[in-house]
Amino acid sequence: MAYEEEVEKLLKRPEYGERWGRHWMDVWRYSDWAGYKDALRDSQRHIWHWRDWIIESLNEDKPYDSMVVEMLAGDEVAPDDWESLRATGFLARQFFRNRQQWMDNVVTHTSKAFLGLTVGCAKCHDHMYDPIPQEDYYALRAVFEPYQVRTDRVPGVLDVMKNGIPRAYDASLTAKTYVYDRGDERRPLKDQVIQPAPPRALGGTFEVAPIKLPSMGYQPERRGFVKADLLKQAEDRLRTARTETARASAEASLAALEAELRAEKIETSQGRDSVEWKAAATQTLKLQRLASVASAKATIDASERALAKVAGDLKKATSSSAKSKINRTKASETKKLAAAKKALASAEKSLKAALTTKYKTRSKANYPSTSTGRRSAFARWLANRENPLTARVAMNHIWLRHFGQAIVPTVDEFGANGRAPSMPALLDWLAVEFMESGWSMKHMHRLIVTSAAYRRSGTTDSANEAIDQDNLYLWRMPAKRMEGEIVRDNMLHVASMMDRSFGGPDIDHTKAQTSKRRSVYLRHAHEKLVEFVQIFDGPKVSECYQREESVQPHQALAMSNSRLTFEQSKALANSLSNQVTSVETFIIEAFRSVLARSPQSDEQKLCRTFLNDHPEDGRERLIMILFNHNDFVTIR
Amino acid sequence: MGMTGMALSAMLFKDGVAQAASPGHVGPHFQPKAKSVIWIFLIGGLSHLESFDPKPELNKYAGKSIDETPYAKAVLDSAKINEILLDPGKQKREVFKKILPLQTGFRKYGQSGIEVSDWFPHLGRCADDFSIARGMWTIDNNHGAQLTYHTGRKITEGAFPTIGSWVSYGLGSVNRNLPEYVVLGNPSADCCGAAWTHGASYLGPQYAGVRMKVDSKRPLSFVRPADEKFTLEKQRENLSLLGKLNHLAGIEYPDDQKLKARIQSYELAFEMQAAVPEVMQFSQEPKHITELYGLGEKTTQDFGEKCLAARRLVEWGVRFVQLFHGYRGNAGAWDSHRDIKRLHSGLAGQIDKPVAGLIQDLRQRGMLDDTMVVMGSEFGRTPGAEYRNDNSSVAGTGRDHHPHGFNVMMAGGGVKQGHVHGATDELGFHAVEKRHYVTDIHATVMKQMGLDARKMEVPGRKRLDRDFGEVMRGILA
Repeated sequence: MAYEEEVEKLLKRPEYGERWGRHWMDVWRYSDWAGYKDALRDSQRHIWHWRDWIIESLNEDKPYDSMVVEMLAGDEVAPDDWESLRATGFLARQFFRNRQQWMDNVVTHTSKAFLGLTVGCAKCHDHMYDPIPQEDYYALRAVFEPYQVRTDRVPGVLDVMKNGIPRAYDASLTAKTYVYDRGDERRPLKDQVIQPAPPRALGGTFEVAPIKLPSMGYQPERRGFVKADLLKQAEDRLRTARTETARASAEASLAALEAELRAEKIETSQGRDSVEWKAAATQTLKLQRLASVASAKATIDASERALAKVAGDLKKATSSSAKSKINRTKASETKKLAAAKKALASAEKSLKAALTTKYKTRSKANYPSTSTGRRSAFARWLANRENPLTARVAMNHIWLRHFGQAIVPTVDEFGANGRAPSMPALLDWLAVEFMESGWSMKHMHRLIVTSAAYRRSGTTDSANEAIDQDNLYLWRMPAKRMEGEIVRDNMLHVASMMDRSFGGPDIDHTKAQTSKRRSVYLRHAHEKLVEFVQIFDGPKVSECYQREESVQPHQALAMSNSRLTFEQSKALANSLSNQVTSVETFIIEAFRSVLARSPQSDEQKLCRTFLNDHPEDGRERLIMILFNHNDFVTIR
Repeated sequence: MGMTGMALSAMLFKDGVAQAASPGHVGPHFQPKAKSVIWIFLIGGLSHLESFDPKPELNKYAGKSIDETPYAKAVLDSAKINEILLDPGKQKREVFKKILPLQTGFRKYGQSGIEVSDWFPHLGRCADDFSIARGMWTIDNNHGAQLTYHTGRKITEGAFPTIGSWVSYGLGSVNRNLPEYVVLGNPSADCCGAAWTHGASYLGPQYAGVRMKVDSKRPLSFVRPADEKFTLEKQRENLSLLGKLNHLAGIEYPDDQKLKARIQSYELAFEMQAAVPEVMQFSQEPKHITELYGLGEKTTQDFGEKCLAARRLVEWGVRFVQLFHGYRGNAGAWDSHRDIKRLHSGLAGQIDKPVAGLIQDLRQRGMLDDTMVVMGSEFGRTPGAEYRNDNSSVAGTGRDHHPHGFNVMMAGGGVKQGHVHGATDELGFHAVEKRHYVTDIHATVMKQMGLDARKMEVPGRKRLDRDFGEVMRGILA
């Protein structure tokens, strides 16, 4: 039973989620944010929260149907579960500068990923090969029409450019979908508003009911940690204030913030009609006015000091460039001073005005308190036993990644333009078993990898080969080349150099040769790709439902010339040399470490000669050679 | 390999005595006329009507229905329309009958008087160099035909060896430092074959096209060892042991094509380290040559570089260079369902001068005699204007997919000069004379390379009749 135990152990390891997470990230079209400087072209900043959610969910064996529902409608089904909201990164990633393209992407890729259907064809005209009329495309689009993406704060970080959760929410309850004449958004056919509905050919219906969101769902900045972070920020300001006026201003701001938070609290518990709230609100306004005065005074003070310093600097300055620089400072400070004086006058004036309850609320987004419910209705229809495609498509993807060949070879095209399954009954059985198990992926992995098919050897058999040359029926285990990420990771792993830390922000793709993190954590976005991984048929950003498996000289160069290889070879050679002294044992250990097997006597002999010929650097070079060995990149 | 090496290989190549560096599997069946092929593929479907097969009748009947022309009966025969399609029941496409006039003018060029559209003036001036086959047809009316063009199979049949892989499988390599089959440009998108359009399928990955970038600053990634002290000599020693170890490991898996391909890829990669930066370095090319290809001009820079790189690769002994033009994700840039005038004229401007420059340059170097240039698309475009659920202003400004008749341009390597082969009907709808399926191009290319397409078979792999194709004898000199 050792094999079964080993399988259990591996399924329990956190690396299971990282390995299979990358597979699903292909299918779900993961991309880190793309753009330059402040611009955002594609996907979202901090989308790695979704990647971490994928990995964590797989590790806890979250049922596939729940994962699908959370990715498409986490904000509707669990609006106050901040962990699950990360799942809607699936939708946040679909963001594209052009809204029409964005909507097209979400319809196209949702149907490809979960249904194996190319619904995208029906944007401009009725699908030519499948029974998908043009209107069905727009009925799917209607599911997504109301949604937008926003970034919610995370504890400890007030600046959402630095960190935050990119997530989906329904921004418009009245967004209307029309069929576009020939798919051209300039020509909507406005006589009919398209309602959300599933593609008719797949059967079933869904009822859409609006969902009332809890207040934290639509006013996320009312969450306790946001308040705490704001207070901390104000307190920090007070603590670090260096001048009298700055301190006074910080104090006044803190007092105003505290008053405002108190008013908010009373508003929640007693409502705006209560005497208590009115008193608190009035008090807040008063403190805010005082804070404005203090703030203007502090600015005036700071600017005057700066100007005084400028006067002194000017006298000391000798070069004309230094002078012009100082003069620029002078001009800007003068401007600032004038503005602050004006602000002070206006603040002092409003200090005399009558007090009301209309205090200036801290900038907190107020999103719609209701979600349309369209996406959750759709998601439940999708992740449902009655849906003929969902479980089959998912199992086909899983099968592909175990055997290197799918049962339906066109994994994103189960329609008429796709190819027929090699073993339809098997796919049916897998789909049913998957659903019966409560959509447990680990259950299916266990079944597959303990099966006779999976455990077959990879050697040839002429009788079988004569019947089934392409091994469609799996009379032997097909040899697969590792994905580029795994080639890189394995080198780090074998050399004991891998940094096993889990999750977190994406690592700059240009650091791939030096970073010791797993490849799944390296940046993957438009024009920001890891070259080493791409050379091994790495995933395309736009879509990657199935990877190629080429053998190219570029791969040989990446393996033999990269810094990664040199460094890992050296590291492993050193650590092995520390453990063993004899050449013979070194060769055996090198084979075991890199190729997970012992050398045959012929191999041992060749390596011995090589080490004897190159006493100075032979060991690290032998490791390099083994990293380049076909067996290193091949899974049999 | 330095300049001397290059000169040597070019010399060997010109003398036609070069021994294959790695022998082919079937070896030439007869004396080859051509040594290399430059295969240019325009992704999405070039309008045959507005390139090399202009039809005055389209202008005469512009705006009228095909029904109103004297050709209605012959053209609209549904049996005829369906007979070429594989699985016609699954390939529903309406016939757009309202005739769209030619979107550009055309004129006769050279002594041959071949008519070429005004979007291709430079190629027009090469008319006396090429043959144009006007009677092509294919079996798929959607962009899976991109794969069909390269393998002869419909995309739903899966991956099959491409023409480039057959050539490389059949003949092996004449050079040791570059792949025998090189791919430049972005190939077809996922919808339409992707890597299968330059793949080798059951021939094994060592016969698949090797993608290369045309980038003189960084022509090859990981081109030198990260450790600068790691000498060529050490690399060679490493490679030697690696090769032996891989061979030993392969004993247990005698039919593992990937392993064989990997062994070969290491040997090739070692040589490519020196060769690729040199072959992709254009600084030695004189200005009048780079200008010939349109380098230095914004619209032609990109494809001009590829065409120039193709010539240089061929000089170095690469057998098959496959150039893709018009990648745009999905169907491809040439797929002008509407606004064909603006779209096609823009695309034509990108390739006209570079391809013409390539032909001229090959000719002046004496290389056109044994280098075959082939340019085509997966299909042509409909004589009728496309109207699909559409009554708007841009309705009827484009042309739909057209597998029933289209053209392919071929030059050099023993192809007739200034010759028109075959014809479509008066409306450019059906191929009617010297009709050829796309694999006939393959058979012709193979013939000139010294291979008999009928003999290109691998034990245990069934080839269909349509896979082999027939040599287009009429275009051969």
